Amino acid sequence: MNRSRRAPVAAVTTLLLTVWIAPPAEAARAVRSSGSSSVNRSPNANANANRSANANANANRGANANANANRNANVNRNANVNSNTNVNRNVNYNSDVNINRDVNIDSDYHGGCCGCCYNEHPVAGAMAVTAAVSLTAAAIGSIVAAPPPNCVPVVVNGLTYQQCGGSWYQPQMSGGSTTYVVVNPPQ
Amino acid sequence: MNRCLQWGFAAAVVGLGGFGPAAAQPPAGASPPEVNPAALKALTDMGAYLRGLGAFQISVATTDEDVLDDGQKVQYDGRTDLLVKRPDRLRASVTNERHDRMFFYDGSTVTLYGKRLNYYASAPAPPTIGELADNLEADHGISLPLVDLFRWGAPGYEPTGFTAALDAGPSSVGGATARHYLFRQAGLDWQVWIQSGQYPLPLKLVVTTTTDDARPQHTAVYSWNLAPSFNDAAFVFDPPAGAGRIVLARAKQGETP
Repeated sequence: MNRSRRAPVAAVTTLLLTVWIAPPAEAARAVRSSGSSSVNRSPNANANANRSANANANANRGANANANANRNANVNRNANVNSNTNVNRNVNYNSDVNINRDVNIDSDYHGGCCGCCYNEHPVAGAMAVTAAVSLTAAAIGSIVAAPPPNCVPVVVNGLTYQQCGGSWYQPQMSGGSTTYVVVNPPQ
Repeated sequence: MNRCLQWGFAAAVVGLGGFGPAAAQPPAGASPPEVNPAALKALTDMGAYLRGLGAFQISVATTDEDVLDDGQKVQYDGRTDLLVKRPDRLRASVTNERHDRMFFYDGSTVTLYGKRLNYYASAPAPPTIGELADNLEADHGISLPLVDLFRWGAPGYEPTGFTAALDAGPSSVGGATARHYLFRQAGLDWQVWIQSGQYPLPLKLVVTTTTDDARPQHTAVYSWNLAPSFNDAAFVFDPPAGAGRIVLARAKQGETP
């Protein structure tokens, strides 16, 4: 692609950014377990003790089919050798709020765009997948990690919903994270 | 599996014309796991002391690990602050890469507040912190921060279920003299450093999850304040501007943490 050995850095960067606007869909790496943070169990809890005291861990397991369209551009500095475009196995922990992760974890971060809530719980995938799904009707009762972009928060009977076109998402605190249930329009 | 490996090994050695009978022996010197009564007593004493604390404030530096599906570990630091007035007031703040969450409990209502999303969820609560911890875990799959502090020494607590309990001897944490104990139980290896002397507080806790080959670890270093100043408003959630109320989901069967 870049045949000039002396191509200016800016040109290379532009090329790379252009290339990476539409990266191949790549399964993100999911969290399979979390270290337990406690050693005592509730007497009411079931017998599956000690797998993890982190409530997120079980729900995260194997539930992620995330096509994360965002990549950290600075890992591509070596791409001008044109041989290793698929180097993005990095765990992408940007510490700012517009957080793009290759690791599909739960967290409480807001998404950068749209006033929506890239967040917490990778039950059904992250933003990119969810957005694509929302082009069709979201199935009532399905649970997603984040509503699609361009939702509007609406309060009905004291509870906050996200209205996203014709679909309504009800946020809920679920275990260690917040998820969004697709619901019928609240009355 | 182990037995298969042993027999396979023995057969291989026999095949080489060597020391078959000797190799088929179980490994010598594998002493049975030790449960040191002194280590159990240290837990009991610490629990009794914790139970006697009326009010306390604690700030905890935490390090946690997740394991990715290919076995790579991700470590993250955080901080948990807790203000407690027994038996029925608690305020907690948990801040790390994953969460910025607060808990408020005033004896009748519990509220969880996610600062980053500016959402909160409230629910009626039982009359004690211990019951609150049980209910959150069983009904909602949520662990109360530093829940062990309320389970050690709780009524009915017995230091049982250990396959090993060892006294690792004198130590210190942050300059405070302590004694270091090791415990092994189903799925967990853990270590606790208990302050020496008349105030047997836990100063440090390390929990290693052994059900995952990668053995993710949780580390917590505690800073105690046994004479906190506060008023009861600290335990009541006052929604910030724009905070949206949401529901607290019920845990599905089998989803308790």
